[in-house]
Amino acid sequence: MSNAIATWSGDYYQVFAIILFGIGFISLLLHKNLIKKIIGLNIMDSSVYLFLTSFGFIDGRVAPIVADPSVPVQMETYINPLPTGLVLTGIVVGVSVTAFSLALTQRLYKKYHTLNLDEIIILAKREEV
Amino acid sequence: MTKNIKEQWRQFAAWVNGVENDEPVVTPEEKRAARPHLPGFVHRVLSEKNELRLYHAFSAVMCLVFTGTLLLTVLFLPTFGGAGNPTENEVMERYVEKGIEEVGATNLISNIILVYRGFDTFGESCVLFLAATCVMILLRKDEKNTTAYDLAERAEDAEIESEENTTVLRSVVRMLMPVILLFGVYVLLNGHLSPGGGFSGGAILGAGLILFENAFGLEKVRRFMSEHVYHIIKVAALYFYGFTMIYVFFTGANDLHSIIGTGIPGMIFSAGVIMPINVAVGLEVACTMYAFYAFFSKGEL
Amino acid sequence: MRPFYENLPFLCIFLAMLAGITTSILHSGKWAMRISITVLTVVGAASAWLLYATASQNTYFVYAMGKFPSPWGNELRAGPLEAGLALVFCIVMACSLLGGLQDIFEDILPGKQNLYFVMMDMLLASLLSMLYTNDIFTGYVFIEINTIAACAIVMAKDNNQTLVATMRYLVMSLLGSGLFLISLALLYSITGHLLMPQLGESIHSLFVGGLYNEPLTVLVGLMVLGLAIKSALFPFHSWLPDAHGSSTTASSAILSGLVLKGYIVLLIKIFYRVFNISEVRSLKVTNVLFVLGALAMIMGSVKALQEGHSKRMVAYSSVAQIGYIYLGLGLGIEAGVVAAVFQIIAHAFTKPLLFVSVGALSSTAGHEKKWYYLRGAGRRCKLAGIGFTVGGLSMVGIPLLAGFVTKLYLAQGATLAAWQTITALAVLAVSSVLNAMYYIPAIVQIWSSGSTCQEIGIEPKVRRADPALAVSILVLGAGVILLGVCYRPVVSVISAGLALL
Repeated sequence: MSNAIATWSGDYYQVFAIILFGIGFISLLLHKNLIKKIIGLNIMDSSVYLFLTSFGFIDGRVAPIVADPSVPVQMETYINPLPTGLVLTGIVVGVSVTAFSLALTQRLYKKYHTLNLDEIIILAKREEV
Repeated sequence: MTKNIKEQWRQFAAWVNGVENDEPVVTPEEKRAARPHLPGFVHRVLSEKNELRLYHAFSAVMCLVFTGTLLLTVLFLPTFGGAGNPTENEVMERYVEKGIEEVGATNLISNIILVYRGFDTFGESCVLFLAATCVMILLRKDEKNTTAYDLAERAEDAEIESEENTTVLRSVVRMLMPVILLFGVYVLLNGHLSPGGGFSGGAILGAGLILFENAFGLEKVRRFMSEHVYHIIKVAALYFYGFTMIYVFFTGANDLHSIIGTGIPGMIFSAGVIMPINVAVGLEVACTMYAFYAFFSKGEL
Repeated sequence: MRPFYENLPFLCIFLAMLAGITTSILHSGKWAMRISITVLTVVGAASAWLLYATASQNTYFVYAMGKFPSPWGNELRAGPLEAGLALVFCIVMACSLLGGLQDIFEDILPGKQNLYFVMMDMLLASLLSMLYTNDIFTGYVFIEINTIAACAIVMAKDNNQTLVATMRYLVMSLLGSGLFLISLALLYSITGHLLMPQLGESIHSLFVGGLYNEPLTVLVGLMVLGLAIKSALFPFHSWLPDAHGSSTTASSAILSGLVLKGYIVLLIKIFYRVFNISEVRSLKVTNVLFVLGALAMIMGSVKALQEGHSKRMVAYSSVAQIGYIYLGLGLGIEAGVVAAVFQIIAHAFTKPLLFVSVGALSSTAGHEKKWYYLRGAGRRCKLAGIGFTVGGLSMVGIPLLAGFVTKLYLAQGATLAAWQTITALAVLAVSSVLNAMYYIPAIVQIWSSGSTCQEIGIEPKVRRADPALAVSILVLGAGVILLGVCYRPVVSVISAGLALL
């Protein structure tokens, strides 16, 4: 157990990312309110991005932007640039799906005057019958 | 007094939750009927409250299982920040050490996202394009999604945003606008030399446009950014990006001679296709951000 | 300079994307439709050429996107399996669009019809990319494109039911892609690679060395869970009936026939190229998939049996049919995967045929979708009636139709499996009976004389099949029959393709 705590405190960045994931996940499941659900989804996405970036970090190195290109570049100076690039892609995807889900929410709100997903589903069923 | 505050808090909470009037739209009976059908004996054991509690408990357990599993997994992963982790391999070595020589940008990340792994990033621009299209399908004003009530509400908003009500905002925006645009353009053009690039620069430009619309209204923005112009910029940017990528991929994969060089690293005109692509992506992102805002608030560009 | 046909996958993907971008500025839905059909034809022809080129030489090739090969740059990979599936996807998508054309132009407002076809082109691009990709992160990006486009074609009809269905679909899908991304992050952290060949090598060496066993198990679990949610494996299917049952005809057909399959094909590629099937089996993932697949086959059919709404019934039957695919994968042996891929193709033809036919049948009764009111609909639109009969009988598993061959190969595979034999055979038998219990009454109902839709004030009307509908039903029906009669060449291409993976 003490081993585990030592490892966790070393990997604090990933631990916090995962706790954030839990928070996002539970708000996605428990909240009835659509806006809160979307916020939960966003927290979840962000936590995954944090988790992914953490694998690029290497202690004591700097961001991969070369200040003086005339000197040959040493790999030992910079952190791993690949996860950063992947997260950039992920973030744009996250923005896009958030915009889409918020637009849907706006339409549903205009129709039913409520943001409660359960109520919306019931109202839609009532219309169908 | 306290009752009053309580009442106000209740109203505030209702407003946050998006409930317009107090009457419940759905009766409790309907809610009960809509629950998944549990076997009879479970129903006898569970009251309605317990049923909800069961769902909450189930969700909490699910969440704990996921979080716990992942936390345990972290124990077995390579140490955070350790040198010599599996990720520090020949892939990273080439990106860092050969990036400037092979592609030419001193911002090594832009080498990766626009050239080494350019296909992913083109896909990502398409995601943004698709999201803008979806928002357009949902929210562009038409007879299905706009009622007379909505139009009246929008007219009221326009009244509030009229000239005499936004004097402060207008004068501040007049001062800020050039700075924001300049900064956006700087971030765009220096994407291959410093932190930044198409997506971040475009987001800054888009924010500037949104601020401008807030202060001066839709009509003023329409003088340079109507729906027509929006479509032209978006399609032109994506076409430029797409055809550049086709050229790069085709010549690269077939070992043909490519006219794209690397230039002198560190100069503004260097790194081949990266700066033009950054500009194209930036324009697309700026338009899309503004379009999101305009469709959400006004239903039109 | 490589042979020209090796450029085809890349050119097809970009053609579809650029067509989508162009379509977004058109004003007329008709022209957008023509562009989409043209693109589908061109891509279909290119895939056929590719299939011929790779299958005749029994070879595959990788295509670096740019001058940087793996493990540095993005790559595509194409062999007989990918090319064949691309050809099937193009044919089915074109037929579904043609079959649902009338409904598309009725259901969607004229100003927004072109945007529907934007989604179609992008959906094609993303399906092709998921087929051809050799890079797992590209897979993630195109999963997201696929998700957004699929949600958009559900909501295109823009009534209350479809909006609610889209919301549920979107939330579930995003959960699935979030899980997929986490597993991808874990995979990257223990291997340092994103391209499938290098991933495969390092995972193999990890297995041999017995390193990182726990993260590997977790990441395989998360990856399968994410893709299973997206492909509506039981018990994650709750979004499917609403989404597929309420959208416009062409959307339902494409969602059931193709979109679900895209994720499964990606999963198969990951099973084969990142892991190999024996490593997956040793992680016990196949056992879970087998159990869930078997449950899906039964529960999907039971749910369909209780459903009086024609499109929702067909949608629930999709849940059962997805179960067949996972059952095949869950056998954990080569023969099972061959059966699963065959089921992907067979279902890709059968389900759109059913949806297109149901759409046409219900248009003879004022778009009423309840079976009760569809009495005699087959007599009023004969071609659609025949289409539904052929599709329904194929689902039941009548010999000489595609569904029968799937069951045959699944049963054959099951006899070779380790412990699954008896269960698989029993589930197959029960599922066939259940399928018959809801498809046969439906077929009887549409061919019965008289009509019932007057009871709710709808005048039954005769619909002559227009050319687009006729082409669609004939091609899809011919596909079902051809797959049932001369299935040997198809199976040999599948086996060859899987052997090359």
